[in-house]
Amino acid sequence: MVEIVGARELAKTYRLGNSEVQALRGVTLEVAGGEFVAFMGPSGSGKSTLLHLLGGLDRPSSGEVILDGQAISHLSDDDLTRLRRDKTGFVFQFFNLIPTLTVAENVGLPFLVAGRDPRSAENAAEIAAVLEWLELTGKERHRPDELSGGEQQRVALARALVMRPAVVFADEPTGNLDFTSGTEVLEHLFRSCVQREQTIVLVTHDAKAAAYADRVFFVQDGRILEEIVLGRREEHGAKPLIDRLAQLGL
Amino acid sequence: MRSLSSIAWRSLASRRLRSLLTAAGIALGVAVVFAALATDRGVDESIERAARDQVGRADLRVVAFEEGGLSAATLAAVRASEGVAVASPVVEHVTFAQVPDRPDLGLLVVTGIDPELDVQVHDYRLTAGVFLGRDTAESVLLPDEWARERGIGVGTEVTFPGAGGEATLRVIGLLAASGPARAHDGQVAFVLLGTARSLFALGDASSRIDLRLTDGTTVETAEQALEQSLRYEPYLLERTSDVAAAMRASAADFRSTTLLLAAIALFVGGFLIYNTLSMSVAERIHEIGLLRAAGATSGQITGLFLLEALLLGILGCAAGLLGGVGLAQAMATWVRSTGSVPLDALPIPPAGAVLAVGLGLFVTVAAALRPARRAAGITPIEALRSRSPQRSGFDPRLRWLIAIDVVVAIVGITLWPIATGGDQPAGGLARPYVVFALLVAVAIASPLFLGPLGRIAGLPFGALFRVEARLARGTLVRDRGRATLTLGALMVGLAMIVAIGTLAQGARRAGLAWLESVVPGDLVVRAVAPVPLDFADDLAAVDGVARVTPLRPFDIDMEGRGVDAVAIEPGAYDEAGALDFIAGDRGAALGALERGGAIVVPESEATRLGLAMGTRVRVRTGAGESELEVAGIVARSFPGRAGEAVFVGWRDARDLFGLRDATLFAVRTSAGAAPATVRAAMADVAGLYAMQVFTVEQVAAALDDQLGRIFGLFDALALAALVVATLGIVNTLTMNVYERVREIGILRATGMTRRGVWRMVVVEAGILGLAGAVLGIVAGVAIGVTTLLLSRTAAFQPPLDLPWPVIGAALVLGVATAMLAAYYPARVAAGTTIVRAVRHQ
Ligand SMILES: Nc1ncnc2c1ncn2[C@@H]1O[C@H](COP(=O)(O)OP(=O)(O)O)[C@@H](O)[C@H]1O
Ligand SMILES: [Mg+2]
Repeated sequence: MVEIVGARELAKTYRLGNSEVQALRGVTLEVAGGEFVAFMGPSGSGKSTLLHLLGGLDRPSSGEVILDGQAISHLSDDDLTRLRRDKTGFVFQFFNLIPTLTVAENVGLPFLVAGRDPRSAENAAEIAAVLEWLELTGKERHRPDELSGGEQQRVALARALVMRPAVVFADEPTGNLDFTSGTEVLEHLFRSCVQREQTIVLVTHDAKAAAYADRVFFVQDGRILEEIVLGRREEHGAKPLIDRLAQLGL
Repeated sequence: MRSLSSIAWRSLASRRLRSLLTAAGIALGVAVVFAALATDRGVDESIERAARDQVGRADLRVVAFEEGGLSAATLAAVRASEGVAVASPVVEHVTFAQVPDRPDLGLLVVTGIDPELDVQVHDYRLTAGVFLGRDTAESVLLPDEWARERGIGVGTEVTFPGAGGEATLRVIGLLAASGPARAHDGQVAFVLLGTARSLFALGDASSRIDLRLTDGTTVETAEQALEQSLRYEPYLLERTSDVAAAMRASAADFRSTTLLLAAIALFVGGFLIYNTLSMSVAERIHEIGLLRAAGATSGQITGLFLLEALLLGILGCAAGLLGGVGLAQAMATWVRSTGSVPLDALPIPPAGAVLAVGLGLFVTVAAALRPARRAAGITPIEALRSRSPQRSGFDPRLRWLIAIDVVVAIVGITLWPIATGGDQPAGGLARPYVVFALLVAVAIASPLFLGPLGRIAGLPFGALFRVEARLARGTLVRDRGRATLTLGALMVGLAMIVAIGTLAQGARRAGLAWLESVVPGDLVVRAVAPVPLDFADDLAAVDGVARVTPLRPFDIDMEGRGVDAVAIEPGAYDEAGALDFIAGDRGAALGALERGGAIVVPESEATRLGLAMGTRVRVRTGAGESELEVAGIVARSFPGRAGEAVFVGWRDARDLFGLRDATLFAVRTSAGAAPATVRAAMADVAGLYAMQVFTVEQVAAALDDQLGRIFGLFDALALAALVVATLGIVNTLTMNVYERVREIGILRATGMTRRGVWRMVVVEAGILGLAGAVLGIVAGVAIGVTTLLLSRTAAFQPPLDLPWPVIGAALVLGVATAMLAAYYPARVAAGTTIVRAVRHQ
């Protein structure tokens, strides 16, 4: 197994005036290339904090993050930005899109930011392919506010996938969607893992969403309380996870 | 209401930067308005004072036409004329004063007065000694300053060369620099009428008679009565009011331009407030919803926002008034240094302060009204559901702003004369309206161009920063209303700079063309008071002088109207190839002037008086009346007191109008002699008569400098408007950044560096600046050209070419100020941490 994302004794403390909030209290884990992992847990347990640290969006108070074989604590802000640009993709719960850009332009944003022309033949083909793959063909020239919530999240996923990054991080991508749209987005995430061999790190408080993962980390009070290995989704539904959680009294 | 005011106050305090910028914008607008009012008032009072100095309490003045002056018979007739209460005869004679123990001679206009009569029409103020009386035949009064500079005090003896030898008079009093002591640039001495007459062998003649009328007599009836009774020798009647009117006319353009620019600074301030409060409403939609849900009425919400605006307005007005006093002082110093607009004291007009503050508060509250009403219209449901601030259309905003500006323009322009205490020249009103109309037209049209304009403006940036430019361009069309307002403010400021540049260039070109066309030579010798014509021979004897041409401005009575005239030597003009003939053949016309019985008129006067080639006009002369024929029409002439001067040949000037002296000499140097060298060689000769010698280049440079200073002041005022606009850009961009924290987070997560984010905001500002500059330049050129066209009828023929350097400067200024304004917001944007941004809802 090749480690693509890892955490070693990761801790994060937020300072709020005189008091401190310990959002993470020592997390160690490894995610292998091509794996689909999920962080699950109640609100405020530290899931988003962990995802932000793993994705290089923020720096830990102590501990180390490994991203694509590199320890990131020594990287400068610009180097970290470059690493993020080349190796990661993100999907958040709300407002993933730039409202003034079209769907195609939003998906092409990683090329633009990397100084590559999104309209070059090669990149345009890549954008068209990912849009087709996410069933968004025909929506290229739409503006984000002309799309449904599910479509918007699929565009966000397309942008996260277009450069074929090593890892896609998704923080509650379905949190704002109805059941059907949410399921669609999760199916697409799962398919990209299987068909494109994409590593996926998902944060959710919903067991049905977490059940798409190969492994689920249950997070509570800034610690990993339990690691639940489910195996590939094809072989199971949400039931084993729900049963296991019940068994643990969670 | 108490709780509301605490909410309003806290909301301003929590957005300290924005509140300060907005208050600063209002302050600047109010300061400029106040300073303009104070300066305007100062100019008005100075004109009044100068006019009073010249004519005192006299209502009318009878001025001699010929060297011989007005006879005793005329004086008697004037005294006997109906409605005349006081008639004070005066003689004036230019001579030199010999000061003991000092080698240099001082030129003085010796003025003989009847002390008992003259104090009834003029105010003399003594700083030392005593005034003239019955037994002071050997005494003289001198201006304090002139005397002090020459070490003269009460008791000093001063010698004058008289007709029958030298006369020595004793200084018995010194005069303060006011009233008649300021005549002839303060180079004046007062003696008894009899002393002056005998000293210069003037018999019983008077140079002029100053009149005061009895109560209830109008100037018109007195004039009619005088015209009936005066038939001994030619004379001119001058009305006191004409003197002030002529001075006022010369300052009218200056005053109406300061008025306009001040109004524009406020106009831009209105943009700023409107934009700030609109943003504030958009930003606080949730807060408003909560207040509404908690039971606040829509009236209370309106009140809350109006209160916020009022607090900003009061803060701004107070600061503006303080700053305005300083600005007024600076402006006055500057205006004085131009030397072309009279301003000797700077009053702090209470009415001006009230108007400035009133307009400031009015603009503030009026601009706040719509955002406040919009806030009041937000329902709790709408507020709590909406995630991002809603876009609002630009049409209602613009309509509202235009309504405000039209009201401000009307109120401001109408109240202006009341606040300055002077009367507004009619021509001064049309121009501000036209300019306002043009600005409003461009502002209305600008949203239509926003898309293409943004794309074009994005091109130069896109070549360098593709990502940033692409992302930034979107912002321009995201909220067209906000972009239009921000752009509009910048556009207005730049438009004024370009318009001023267009005008300045027009004025400069016209001035230089005028100088070339009208002065037949390369040196100009100027006297304080007329000197005998044969002085020309002394000048001609100087090495390197080819020809000397005496010039003499004077007044003539043409068809019952006072017209400025100048006596010239037609031959010299022919030789120098001067004067641009519009009608008539130059040779024939100048020949006719040489022979006499003809005049050459400038186009402006031809239009004003309805003269054409061959028109015969009746003029009043020494012998009674004469007819002169219009032999040619020229583009430009010398500036006179009311209009441009009509050219008269020396033969007529001598024979018909009795002129035997000149105040100006144009000197043409011989080939090979440098004007500057000849000027130096001439110094001694000219010094004898205390005359000043200038090269034409020096006159041109002085003219250029004078125009530069006046237009520089206008530029400074326009820059104030631009600064206000810049504050608006800082506000808008900062707001844009706060609103787009989420987006910035996404971009950063996608791999944009901090510097990339910084560049994006700066490029956004650059595009905004470039778009604003393009609009501003279009509007500015339109305003400048229209104004030039409007003023073309006057003695002013400016060419209508574009001031490219100014246009270039406006372009750079627009882009640079906008990008500079982006510095702070860009730092905020670049400093946003990703996590905070992506957590932000
Ligand atoms: N910027 C911050 N400042 C202070 N406390 C924070 C900040 N961000 C998160 N927290 C706290 O850290 C804890 C973990 O938050 P988060 O990672 O968002 O949890 P989750 O995503 O599981 O809901 C919470 O108690 C939260 O209040
Ligand atoms: Mg979370």
